[in-house]
Amino acid sequence: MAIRSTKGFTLIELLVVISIVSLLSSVVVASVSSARQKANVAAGQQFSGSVKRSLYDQAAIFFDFDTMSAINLVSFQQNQGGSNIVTGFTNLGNNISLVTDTDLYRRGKYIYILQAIGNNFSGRFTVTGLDTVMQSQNFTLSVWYKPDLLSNDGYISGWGNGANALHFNLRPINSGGNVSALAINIPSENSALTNSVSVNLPKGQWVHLAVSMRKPVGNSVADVNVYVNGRSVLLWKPIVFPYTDSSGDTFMVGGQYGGGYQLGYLDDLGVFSTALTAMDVRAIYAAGATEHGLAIK
Amino acid sequence: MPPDVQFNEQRPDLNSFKSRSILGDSATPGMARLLMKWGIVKSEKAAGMVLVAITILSFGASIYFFFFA
Repeated sequence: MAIRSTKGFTLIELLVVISIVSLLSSVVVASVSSARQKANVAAGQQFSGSVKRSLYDQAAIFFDFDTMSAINLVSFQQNQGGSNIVTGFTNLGNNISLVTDTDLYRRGKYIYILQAIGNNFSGRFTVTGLDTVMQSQNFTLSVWYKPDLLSNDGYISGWGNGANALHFNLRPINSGGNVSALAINIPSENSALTNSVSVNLPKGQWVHLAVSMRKPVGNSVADVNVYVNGRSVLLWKPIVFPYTDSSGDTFMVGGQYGGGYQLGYLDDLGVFSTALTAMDVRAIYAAGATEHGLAIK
Repeated sequence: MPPDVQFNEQRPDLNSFKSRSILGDSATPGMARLLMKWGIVKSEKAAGMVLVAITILSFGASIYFFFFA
């Protein structure tokens, strides 16, 4: 006759043990997964930072507006008046300077205050040494832009002869004080071709803008891309001719178009001597999105 | 002379698990015995309810930590 053992565990005892084991394991899983998530974010930021540095290292010019002194940074002429329209804005004579106001600048870093008032092309600063890049018709402009107030169209950046920015420019188009479109000029012969794309850029919010132009050698059809926050919003394939204007040209940052005023902010402005790929532009956007208060979409 | 054998099927202990009386296991489960020894509960049935409550709470907490923490 088999002897039936009476030793063992009841069902409820087993359930209690299993539930306590599952509680402990889920606590461990939760803590490990949060640590993994933090590690992934840190690794992503490190990767983005290195991508950003490597990309900006290729730039013909790059203004992060952080390492330059305020006087060197912005010394453009304010054409009219001396009133301080933006809080924290210091007017030094007729020149305009930046201040380290942490309310205005994220994490105490400098940005460029775009203040253009009055006459056409007022309120800008000029950059030399970019004529060869622009004349090659292979270049990229990348910039972070935050619109504030507009009473007319403005310039974010441009290049042209004499006092205007005709041959290349990127312009926010004003509609009732909001940026409703972006207009671009690209160089062709001794003039420019113009196009525009409808966008809705909310006031007070940073947006990454990029314009790239690529004209293959021996091909008259160029690829012109406009990117907003790393995504292409305009792919334009115009027929362009080699640049022929021999008059003196100037590259400009900021400025007013057609009178009125434009207030806004610029940061991390770079001009590259090649047409960056969509992936490069996306990487630049991703690298700068967090510090400009945007979640990467 | 018949052996002096007594059967208790007819008078089950109202404070013990029904399954134990069916299976004929006379030993009180260890965890229930422990709870009674600590004075947390007085009867085996109450100990069972406390253990079920502990199980539900533990599973609930583990689901919370796994999905929401």
